[in-house]
Amino acid sequence: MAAVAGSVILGVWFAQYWPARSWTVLSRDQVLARASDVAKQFGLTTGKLNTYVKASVSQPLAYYAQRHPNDANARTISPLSERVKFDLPDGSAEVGLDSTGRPIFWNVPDDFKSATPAVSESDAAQKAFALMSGADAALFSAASRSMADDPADEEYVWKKRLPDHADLRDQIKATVRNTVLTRAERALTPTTEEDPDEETGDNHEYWSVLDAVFYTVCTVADVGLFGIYVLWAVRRAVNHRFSLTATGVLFVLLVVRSYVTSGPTSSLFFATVFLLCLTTVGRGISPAAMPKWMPLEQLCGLAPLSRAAGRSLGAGVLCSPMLVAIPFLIAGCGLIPHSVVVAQNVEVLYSRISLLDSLDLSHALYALAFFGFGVPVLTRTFRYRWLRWSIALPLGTVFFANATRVVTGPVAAPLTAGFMTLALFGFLYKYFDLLAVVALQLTAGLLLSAITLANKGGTVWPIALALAAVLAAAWWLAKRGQEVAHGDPRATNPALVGLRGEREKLQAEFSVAKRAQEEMLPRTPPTIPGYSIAASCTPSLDVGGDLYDFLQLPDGRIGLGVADVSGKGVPAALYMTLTKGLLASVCQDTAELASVVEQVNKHLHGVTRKKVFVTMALGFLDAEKRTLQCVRAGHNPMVWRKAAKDETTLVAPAGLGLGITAGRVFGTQLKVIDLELAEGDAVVFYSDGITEAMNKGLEQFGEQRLMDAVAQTDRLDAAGTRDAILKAVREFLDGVHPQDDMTLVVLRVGDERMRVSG
Amino acid sequence: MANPFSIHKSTENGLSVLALEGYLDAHTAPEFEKTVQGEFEAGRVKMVVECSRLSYISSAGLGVFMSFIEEIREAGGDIKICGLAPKVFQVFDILGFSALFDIVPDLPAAVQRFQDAPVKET
Repeated sequence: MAAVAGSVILGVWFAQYWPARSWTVLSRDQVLARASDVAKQFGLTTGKLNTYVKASVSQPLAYYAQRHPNDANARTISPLSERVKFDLPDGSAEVGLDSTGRPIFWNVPDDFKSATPAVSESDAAQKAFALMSGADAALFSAASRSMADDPADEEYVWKKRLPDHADLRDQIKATVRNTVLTRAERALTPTTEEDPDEETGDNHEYWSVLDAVFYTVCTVADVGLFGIYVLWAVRRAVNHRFSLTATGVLFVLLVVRSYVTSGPTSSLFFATVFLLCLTTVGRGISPAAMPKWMPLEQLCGLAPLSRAAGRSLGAGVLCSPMLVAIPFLIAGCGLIPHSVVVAQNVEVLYSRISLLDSLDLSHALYALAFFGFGVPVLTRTFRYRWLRWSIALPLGTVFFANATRVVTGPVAAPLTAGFMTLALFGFLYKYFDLLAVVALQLTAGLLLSAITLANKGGTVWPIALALAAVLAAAWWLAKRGQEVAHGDPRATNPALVGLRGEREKLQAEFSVAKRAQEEMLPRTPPTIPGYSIAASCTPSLDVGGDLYDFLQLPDGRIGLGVADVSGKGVPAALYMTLTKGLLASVCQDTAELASVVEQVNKHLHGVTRKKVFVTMALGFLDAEKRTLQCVRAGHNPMVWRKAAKDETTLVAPAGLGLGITAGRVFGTQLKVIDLELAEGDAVVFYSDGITEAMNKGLEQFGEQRLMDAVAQTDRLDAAGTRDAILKAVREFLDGVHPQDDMTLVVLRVGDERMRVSG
Repeated sequence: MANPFSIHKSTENGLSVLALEGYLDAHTAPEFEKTVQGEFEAGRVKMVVECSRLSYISSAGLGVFMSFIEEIREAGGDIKICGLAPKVFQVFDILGFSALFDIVPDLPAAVQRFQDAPVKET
């Protein structure tokens, strides 16, 4: 709807209110040729010098020109101007042109050597006057000399006698040092004295202060955000390689952009600021408070575009015509009388890198700064909702009024535009996420640039078609995301999307089952003096069949172990609970390890219908004798770390998986082994989710890495050991989501007080 | 994530040879199960499962071996497993399959084993 409304508004009012329509726009090459020509006349041969072109619009002049369409004076100089910078060995020379190619600005370093030296100071000044006044020369008053700040400089001023409206000032000013023209400018400035009833939109100085403040805040905030984002990604070990790549790419784009448009010095400055901020600011806000970042991360981290991310992206793109249309809505339909649209994104007209300039990354950062940084900070700082809103609304309005200054006139005009922009972004942020916000800002920039370019070249159709194609694609993405996002809990934030339909109900029940299953695991390990025990189960996305348990045996020993049901999903979960129940009930009657396992096997074999089996590693610990009696029923071997001997071994007594085969064969295969533990020893039970954890290179974590990790933990207690192992696996996975449950039980022999917890 | 898995059927000396390739996991196990079921119902109960191109087997894949072995053996047949890569063999071994199945190095050895011991003695 926003797309349709926005397009309609654009269609109706754009042609009428887009100021650039009436400007003659030269091509980049024409501008460069003209600037070289002007420079030559001032004594600078520009042959092989590096050049940079910047375009800008004088807001007061644009406003005046539109408000007084009949004032011929206002069209002497167009509000659009270009500045061409030539790199000199020490410093730079600047030539300014208005959009028709008329010279209006000249600036060189004080020690500039002219190739065509003037005879006297007034000669040099006259030359500047002749060039800049052109055909209007006769309309100017004679030069008046005035005192310059620096006594070495001579200043000359010519004023034009304006026939019509006197509320414009047209003057030429030249500064000469030792017969060399160092600075000259022709300026057409609206004045307010003659028309006190009407506001002129000349809020220029007021805005420029705001601009500087906001720009600094935004840059710091954005760079800080990326810092936080990177740290967050690294800490969570999720796709951090990708997030670093994404940040790196953005960094390079910004630096390239500033290099091409402003030269090496400014890009170096930018790079330094970016890197400084990246390392210093990135700790401001809690990363946990930013679930809105998820789709951005998904987009950076995963090759395919997830449906939820597509939905946000589509929504953002679809809203872009509305964003672009806001100023036209204000000026065009007379929402605020006397307001005028000012052309924006004029940079693209002369850019060597139009596409990059069109994306206008610096503007995209405004919205990112406000919602990615400002809003979380507000949420964190102020507890009361009304307080947050009453701060966010005015602040956001002024913020966006400044950021998207395309409408000028009475001060209400930019403020209304700011408020509407804030509302549009706020809508996207609340119902979607930061990805939608960024998509909106970037597409709006592209759109504005596209219409600016189209307007210049008159080639409207290809751009309109491309735009229609982009919007259609966005609509498809949004639609596709909406349909499917509901059913896939991984694709979206469940808080955003209501549950609907049978599939969702099933999904909800499934997650209840998963929670119930997780709650079946013992929450705290038993405390045994002289030992420490720790366990953890990291479930994968599906309901899994991993289990760990601690048992109090009739003879006073403590049982501990892990089990893994074959397969995944609900059947595995059911057999997991069955195994837990069987184990607990069998252990009430007997403390003989082999007998316990054989009985569990017999029961499982009776019910599992052959295809499902359970593997288990189980140990009975005699705390006083320091012996651990172990069996391995088809399960991964246990890791035994003998700290005193600095040895790490795998304990793998023979044994079949539970439920595979009936009593006799199982019994003959099963071996029970006694481990004589010593001070500092550790025994680690684990599931194959640990050793078979696979990284991007399809390499498995494996037993050797596990043993190496355990060998490093001699000074840690059980919990510390467990954490160290999980950390090693996470580092190995490097962002890949584990495919299988990862379960660990660690037993450490030794006085707890002697050891440090991880 | 769909991992590639395929089964190539052939006969060798009257034995049914199933050559597995790729990933045998919870997603692909049903395909394997169907194939074994088909062989069993067609009366081809002497099977060799050739695993030299099998890169991964999960517990669900192992379950397929288990679910048929008793019936097959009752019908006078057997499943011999050959060509296991070391990593895959380790999975079979951990679970105790070496005690339940004949696991031999290659296809000729499997053919030979069928002649020596048509059914593994357990």
